[in-house]
Amino acid sequence: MFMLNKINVFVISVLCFFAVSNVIAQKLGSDSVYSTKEVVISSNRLTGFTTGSKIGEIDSVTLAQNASNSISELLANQSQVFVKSYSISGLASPSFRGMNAGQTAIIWNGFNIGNSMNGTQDLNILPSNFVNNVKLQFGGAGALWGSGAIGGTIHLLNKPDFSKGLLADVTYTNGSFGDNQINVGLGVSKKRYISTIKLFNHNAKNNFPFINTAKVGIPIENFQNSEISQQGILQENYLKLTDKQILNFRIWYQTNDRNIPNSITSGIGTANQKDNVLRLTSEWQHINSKVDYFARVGYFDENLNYFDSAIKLSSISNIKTFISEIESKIKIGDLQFVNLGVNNTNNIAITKNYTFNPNRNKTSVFGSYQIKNKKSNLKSTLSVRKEFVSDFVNPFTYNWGLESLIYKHLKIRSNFSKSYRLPTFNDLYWGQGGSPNLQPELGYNEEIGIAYIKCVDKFAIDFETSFFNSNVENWIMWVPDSKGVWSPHNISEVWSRGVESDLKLYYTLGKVKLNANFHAQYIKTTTVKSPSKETLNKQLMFTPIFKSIANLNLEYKKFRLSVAYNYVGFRYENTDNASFLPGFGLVNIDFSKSFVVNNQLFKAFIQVNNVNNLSYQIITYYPSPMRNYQIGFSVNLNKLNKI
Amino acid sequence: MKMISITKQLLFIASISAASIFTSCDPKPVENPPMQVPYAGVYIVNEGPYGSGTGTISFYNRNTKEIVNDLFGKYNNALPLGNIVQSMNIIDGKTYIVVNNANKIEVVNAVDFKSVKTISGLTQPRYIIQTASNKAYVSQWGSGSTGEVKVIDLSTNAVTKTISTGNGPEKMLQKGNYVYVTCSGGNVSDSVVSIINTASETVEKSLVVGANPASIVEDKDGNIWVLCKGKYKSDWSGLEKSGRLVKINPSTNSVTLSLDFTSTSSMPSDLTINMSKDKLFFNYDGKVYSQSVNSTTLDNVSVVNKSFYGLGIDPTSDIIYGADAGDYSSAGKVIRYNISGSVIDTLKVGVAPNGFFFR
Repeated sequence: MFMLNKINVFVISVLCFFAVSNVIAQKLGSDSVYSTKEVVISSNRLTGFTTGSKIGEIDSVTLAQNASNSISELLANQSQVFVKSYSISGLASPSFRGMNAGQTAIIWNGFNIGNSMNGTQDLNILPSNFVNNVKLQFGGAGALWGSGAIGGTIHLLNKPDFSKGLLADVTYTNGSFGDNQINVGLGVSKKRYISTIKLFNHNAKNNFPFINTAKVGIPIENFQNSEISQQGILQENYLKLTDKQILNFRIWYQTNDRNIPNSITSGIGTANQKDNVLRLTSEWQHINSKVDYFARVGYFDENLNYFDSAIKLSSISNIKTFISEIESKIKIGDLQFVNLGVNNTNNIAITKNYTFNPNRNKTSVFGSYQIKNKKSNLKSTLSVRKEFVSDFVNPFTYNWGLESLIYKHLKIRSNFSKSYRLPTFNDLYWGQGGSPNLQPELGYNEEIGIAYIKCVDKFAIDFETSFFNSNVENWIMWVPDSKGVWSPHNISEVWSRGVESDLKLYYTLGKVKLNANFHAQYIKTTTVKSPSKETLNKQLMFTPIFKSIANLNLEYKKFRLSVAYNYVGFRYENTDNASFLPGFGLVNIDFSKSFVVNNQLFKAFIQVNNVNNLSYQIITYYPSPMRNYQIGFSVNLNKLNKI
Repeated sequence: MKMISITKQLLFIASISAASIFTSCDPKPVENPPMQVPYAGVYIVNEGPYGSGTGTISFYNRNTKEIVNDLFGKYNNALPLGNIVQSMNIIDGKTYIVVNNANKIEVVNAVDFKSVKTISGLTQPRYIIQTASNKAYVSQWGSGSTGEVKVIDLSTNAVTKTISTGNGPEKMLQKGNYVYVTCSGGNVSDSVVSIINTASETVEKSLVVGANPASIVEDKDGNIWVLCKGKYKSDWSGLEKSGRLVKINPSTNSVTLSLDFTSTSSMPSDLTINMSKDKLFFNYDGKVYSQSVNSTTLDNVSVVNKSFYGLGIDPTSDIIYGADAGDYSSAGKVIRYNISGSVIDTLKVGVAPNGFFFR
């Protein structure tokens, strides 16, 4: 069918394709003490069974550059994901392809960390420095990750690196508006075990000046009630039991104390939220030539304590999640893989917001089958999943993906999926309005992508354009009755379709290393079924149609310069699209200088955000900071193991 | 060779598409021509989207049948009024707009709607009425469960006194030496009308009427009618106490008639009265009901087969105004009916209309 007769071309290209980001990361991050080489499988299904899906990646170099930023800032500035953020310390939620936060799965090393009350996690309190790698999977992937993976999936990954010796690092950052953060890392990395600890302490006043367009005379004022204080610890242990077996154990504990700012059309905020979150996970991997086994257990305990002093409103919630999962990857011959697994998730919420404390037990059975041809230029994966929850009739979900190298460096891929989202506890059980009779949302996604990938010694290019079409049925909307009592109903249907283009370039010219990323997307997300005809066929509120990023990284000797331009198109403010917030384009610059003394790495850096000093809002009447700065330094110490 | 040309082409396409995206334009906003504000007409109070947006005031001109939306923004350089516009009143040529979540009252000239002053230092204000030539009362939920009436000196527009009332004070009515304050419960619950003596400016009596009274009118005979919403069960599964319509004799300040509603799920609301002040109207159980002030039992007569987020009757024409807030995130509607309940027309207003002010 294809004129390809040289397997070599394909193999080289495939290697190149999967390696582009690594090549770039390694070449640009050559000073980094930590390499990005993968030793163990950090997420079996993500690594092996996402055929045909669009996967974006934020590499370790970019993550290191954003070590003092939240995942919210990281994704907003570096990815195609739109982050709906209620100003600097308010709620920030991800939107993939026009979908909402609940329709995005957030997976930490294979564990879904979305909380059962609202179905998501606030990206503003997730620290970038606690992960080594972020992967973004676009489109429905419910058959792989279960409920919630309709619009996309955020993978937060930690990767072990054996035989590195003793490691220590410190990063200190001081920024505008009383922002300071210190990150400390310590680790022992031996041939058979690793034990590391990461700590961070972040405090910010966030009292940035803004133009108060809601006040007579439009005075410049300082933003109020947006202070944040966070402390966290991540302790990771990896033990090679045998050459084929690895056991890991992770502890993530974090406290967040923050004031919740109000919109400038409301009075000054008086609400505060104090959270503490404990996450314990353990995974056992047995990697064989024929069969790989994985067993995982996780326990999450989240305490959320909200208090509004003006109206003396207090809301205290405790959310517990138990996850256990086993899966095995079986190799059949040289060309086929089967992956089979079972997951049990138990969600408990203890809160006065409901009339009882819900306890939901969910068992999922999932499987994937992958086949490739002998020439290895055609690969197809079918994944299926069925979840069983008492009280719900859960749909059967599937994913079918295909990838093919059609001509030398030209690759096409396609993906068809059905995914779903269970109603959250808030949807089901909220005191006044919660509706226990809700049905799950159903998502259908079809997409094709074409990629051109080529890398030679000093030059690499990865260009990809994707076209997708998604429909979500039974879309849950909170709607008020005639007297203003809100409750959720499966009354809407949303159609999202669009085109996304991504271009990555890497070029070396003498001592200059250049790396550029461009993303652009045009996505229409409209309500195709609605209780009111005024909102029918209208774009969803606060959902941009355009978003684009241009990101240029230049490295010369020990200097590194990053310039990022991030454009977010206009967003309608209302469901009938009567008015909108204007689009904005931000320029951020990061400049660093590294020094290597006795094989130890020292770095000083400065970041200038919103260089063009724009006054802009992501959500109406929630101002954002204008030009602001971060300066800091980092020290990476490494004592190699004695051989 | 071929590969390079493909690369070049792809780069070209990418740069073109990138360039077009970076320069993509916002849609053009719709601009309304400026208009003079006629003083007399129907003012529609639009709360605005909850949380992040701004409320607005719409104006309906009875003669030209024209509607102007966002009067305040139009005459104040697109300034937002603030979050959750609750109510308005015109006192001595000034329009007082109570903005609940912004904890303020915006004072504008009634004739040109230009901002004059912002009264701040309030906590969850709800309604304002004039009680003396130089004095106004503002009901406010306050913080927690501390209902209050703030006394405003109209010459300075400053708060001069605070009177503690029952929880969640809402609509007020002045008669004789008294101001009757319905105490709707606010964030908790209550069952009284706080009766303030305007001479001493103290609560003279806390008259128990029924669960969570929120609206109040005076009839042709000078009697006062109060509509109690009822009270939800603690698990919100229905009403623990149903709604109640109560008649108060203002000369004795006592309840002379108490009519209980039967629904265990629907709360009655928005008590209003017709032009001749002999018939009460209110929302209940998905409909608008009427009730003669002479009846001693509930008439159970429905006039409009729909209930509204806000209800009003134009005292100059007996036209019923029903505010339909739709999804609370898009332009709301006002449906006008004649007094017997036939539809006259529909007006497109601001987001989440909750009430009317007739002048």
